[in-house]
Amino acid sequence: MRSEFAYASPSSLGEALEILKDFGERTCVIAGGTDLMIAIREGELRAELLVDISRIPELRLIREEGNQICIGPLVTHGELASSGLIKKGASVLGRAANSVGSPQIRNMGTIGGNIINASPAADTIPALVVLEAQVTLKKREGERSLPITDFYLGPYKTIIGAQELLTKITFAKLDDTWKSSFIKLARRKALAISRINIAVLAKMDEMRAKEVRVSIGSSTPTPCRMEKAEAVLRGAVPSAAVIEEASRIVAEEMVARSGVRPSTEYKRPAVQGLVKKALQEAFNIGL
Amino acid sequence: MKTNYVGKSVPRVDALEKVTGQAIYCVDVELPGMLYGAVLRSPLAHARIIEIDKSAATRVPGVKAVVTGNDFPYTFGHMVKDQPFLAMDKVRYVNEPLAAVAADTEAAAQEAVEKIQVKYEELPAVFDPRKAAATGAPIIHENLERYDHSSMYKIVPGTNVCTHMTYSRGDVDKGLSEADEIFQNEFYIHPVAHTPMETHAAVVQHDPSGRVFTVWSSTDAPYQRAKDLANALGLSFNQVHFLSTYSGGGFGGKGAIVAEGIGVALARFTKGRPVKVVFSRQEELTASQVRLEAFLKLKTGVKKDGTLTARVAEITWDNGAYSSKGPEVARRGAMTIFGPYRTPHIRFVSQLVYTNKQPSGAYRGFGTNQVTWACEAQMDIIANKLGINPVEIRLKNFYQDGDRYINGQVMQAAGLRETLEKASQEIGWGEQYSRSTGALVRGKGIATTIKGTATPTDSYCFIKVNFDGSITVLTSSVEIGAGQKTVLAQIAADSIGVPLDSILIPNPDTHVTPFDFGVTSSRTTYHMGNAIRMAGQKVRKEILEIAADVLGANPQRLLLCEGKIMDKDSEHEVSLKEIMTKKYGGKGGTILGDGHYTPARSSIINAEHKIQWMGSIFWMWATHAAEVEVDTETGVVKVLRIAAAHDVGRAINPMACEQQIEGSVIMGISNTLFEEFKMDRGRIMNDTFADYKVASMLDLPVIVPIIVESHHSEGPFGAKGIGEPALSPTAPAIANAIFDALGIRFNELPITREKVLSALRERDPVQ
Ligand SMILES: Cc1cc2nc3c(=O)[nH]c(=O)nc-3n(C[C@H](O)[C@H](O)[C@H](O)COP(=O)(O)OP(=O)(O)OC[C@H]3O[C@@H](n4cnc5c(N)ncnc54)[C@H](O)[C@@H]3O)c2cc1C
Repeated sequence: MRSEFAYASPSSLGEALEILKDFGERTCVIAGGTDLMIAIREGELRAELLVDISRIPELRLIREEGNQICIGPLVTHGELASSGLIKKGASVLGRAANSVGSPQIRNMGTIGGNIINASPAADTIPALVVLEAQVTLKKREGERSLPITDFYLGPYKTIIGAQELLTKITFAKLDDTWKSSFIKLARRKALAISRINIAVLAKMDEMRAKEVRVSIGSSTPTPCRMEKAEAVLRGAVPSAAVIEEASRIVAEEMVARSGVRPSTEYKRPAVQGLVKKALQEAFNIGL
Repeated sequence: MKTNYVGKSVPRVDALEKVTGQAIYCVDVELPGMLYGAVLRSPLAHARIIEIDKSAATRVPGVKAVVTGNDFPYTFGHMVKDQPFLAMDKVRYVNEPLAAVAADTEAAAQEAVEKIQVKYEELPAVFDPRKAAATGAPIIHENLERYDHSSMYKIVPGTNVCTHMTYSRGDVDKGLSEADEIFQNEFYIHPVAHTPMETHAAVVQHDPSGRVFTVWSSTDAPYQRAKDLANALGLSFNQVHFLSTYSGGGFGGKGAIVAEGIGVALARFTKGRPVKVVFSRQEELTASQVRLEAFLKLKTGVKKDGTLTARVAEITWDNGAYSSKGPEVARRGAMTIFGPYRTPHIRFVSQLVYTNKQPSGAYRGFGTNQVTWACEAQMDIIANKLGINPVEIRLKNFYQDGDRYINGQVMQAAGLRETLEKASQEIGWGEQYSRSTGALVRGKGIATTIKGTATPTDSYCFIKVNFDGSITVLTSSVEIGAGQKTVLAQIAADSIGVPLDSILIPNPDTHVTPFDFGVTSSRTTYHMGNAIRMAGQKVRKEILEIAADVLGANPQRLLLCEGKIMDKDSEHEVSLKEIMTKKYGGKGGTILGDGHYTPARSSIINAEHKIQWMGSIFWMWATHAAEVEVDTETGVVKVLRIAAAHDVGRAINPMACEQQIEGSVIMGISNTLFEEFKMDRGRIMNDTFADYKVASMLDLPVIVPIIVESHHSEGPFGAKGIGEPALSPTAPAIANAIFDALGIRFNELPITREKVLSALRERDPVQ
């Protein structure tokens, strides 16, 4: 049976925070509802009060603040994918957002929902990890900001408190010495959850990769960077051999973090193959 | 004969109605006082029902009826009467219906269902048909031999074998001894869902005084369903009244009593109030019916030059818990496992076995997918081993006009060769091309198929020329979504000589429209087309006689074309409407013509030893050629291009034929590379479209449909059929292309990326 609950639709951030303050644990926030509606239909929603934040305009902006890009949690995947600012300063995120679900899901689903839902397969998370994004959580008494990699406790688990709202996602705008790639492997090409997704950022200095950031999704218990592989790539002149080596290390790191599971037999070689493609694409080198 | 519509890609006659949302599908049917049904389903695969307590359910406000198998103790079955409307004594698969509720609202019905308490005693279950056929397996139907069943299907008492059949022609031992090389291979093909857009649905109303059940349903064969229901309930045909709605897709899945059965059981207890039952996607995926899973063994003797000398086939089919059309699928499928190839000595053993799984039944191709998968993969294995071009080995063994089929029927094989030539040419067979870039490797494969139609089966129709010259065609052929109404209207328009838009084909109504076997077996264009052509010629003749009378002309000198009657001598033209108005004045009147087509007396199906039933009034030939690209790092198979050449006899509507071909190829790619049920002790774990993945548009290749027209001597305007055969060659064409790319053969479907990658790692172990 469908879950039953009361419903509130605050029109300002202040009002929303008041409600969360008053009802705390008994509430659940809803944004686009693309994750939550499924739980509601299955009767799995535990909350008594659904707080619909979708009518709070100030949470729906993409802004440039100095050299920072600042995204409101209600920005949809569709808006991210078509934003000129994102295309220029964080194309890896635009591509990740564009790979989510279908046009209908991208028009409803928000980046905030994607972050808070904390699915290991969430597509924007690896992109946000390589962008070194900060998330801002706010409650009536005040706010805190932390790196996205510190935000997760495990699959579907984050440190957000019952009275807190995610209000902002920020990261440094990238200039064009940064190259990037995002690759998603799913059971089919559209409307499918990632089995593996990979985000890569590489800052190039002439021929050399000055800094490389790699994150893979759907493959580790919490979002993280592939630091060993990044170390191999840092300062290197990208070549087939270096890429091969780095991909092998990513696959190893992935298994070290997630342990050997039934899916590992497929995932280990597939991650290696995909990381190779992602690095080749980021470094723009052929085969 | 010159035609105005036949042979042209006229748009669908029902397109406007559908795109504007006017068309009524079963889920759209709303009636005054209508109640909603919901179903309690078994959580267990095999269990004895100890007790069902429905008292709490009955007390839910708005509930009008709670029905169990005890309340409605009937069984049905098209071939074997083995299926209860609601489980009695035992449940035999997970999600089998146990009880049903009718209530004022869907929510109340659902709430009541959740309040029904059932006590079970779990029984050992069996899911693999090979294990179920072995001695000592748990018996699923203890009273199997006591069920009513057609004598065509041999039951093996005391076992789970629902149908056992053997057949041989020639002397296989002799044939095998003449071979230079003997090939033995095993193949597996998995069950898949039909995934129609519209799930199973029915609205049923019971009129207690007249004891008539009225059923609104999007089934593919209203007469068969009404007959089966009447038979199950001990009613006359007139007491089960089927009204066909438009159908949101069938693919064989709507070829059984599914939601109708629940609706009938409920309507019996709602005092005349109609009940609507609409399956959720979960119910559709887990408790309607699926394609028969099959294990196939082929032993084939071949000469060095590729000539087939003998073939022995052994097939074990999974029937699921109830038989639906399984027995006929197992029979007709087995008959075509030898492919479109002249084989002097053949033998097959085909057994259909019950398991504790969702029933399986008709699925586009009716057994042809399963057998073509084995036959065509093995043809490639043979060609490869003997170093013969896969195109050549097929050409060498193809049936030629005048060759005899396995029952001795003389084949009309024109068109077969042309499909192979055109498809392989289109894909660039034998041309040089760049086979690999980095991790991506390409390959090409072909596969051919033979598909007959159920023979003999009958179709009847009435054509009514109304007093104003408009025309109504009364037929029980449903519009399943493939363009039946359009094609039949084209045939009617050209047979009579009237404009297409003067023709109306209402949806079938078994109290009004005459018998038709059903929209199955790719038979409608040919069979109902012939019936309509006959009726059309009759009314045309009568129109001309009336016109001659009205005009005082010689009927022999009159022509009817596009609704105008022309005197060949004077070139004087009068409209049909004027003639009808003159003849019937202000009072009105109708010209009636009937048509009945049966192939029963055609010499085409003459066969040896009175085994006519194995033959077919027409044979559909097809060849698919596929090009694939395999990513050796991820195991992902991308189909780049499929050329699909089909001998349709004559394309009444080329666009409709192309749509059938494209749709089938899409289905074929989807069930070869994407679709797969994940099972856990009989429970389907991926029971929504989020998890049961069908190929998306972005996964599809360029599809090149190629129409070959061999002109059937007895088909309407030369037409045969196209609905089914375009699916079966797709899977083996893809598998053969993967072999060409990697040198790795996959004999088990589906070909998942996990299997591909694991096979590659086995071949090239990492250092
Ligand atoms: C058919 C389908 C396909 C999908 N495909 C993909 C895919 O390809 N890739 C992918 O990553 N995801 C996919 N998803 C999942 C989903 O669409 C995304 O996770 C989406 O971004 C969720 O956003 P939402 O606004 O709809 O979240 P909601 O459902 O509204 O909320 C999700 C969770 O976040 C919480 N929440 C939302 N906003 C805030 C906030 N500002 N502060 C605090 N808590 C908040 C809610 O309480 C809830 O727990 C798919 C979903 C469906 C139904």
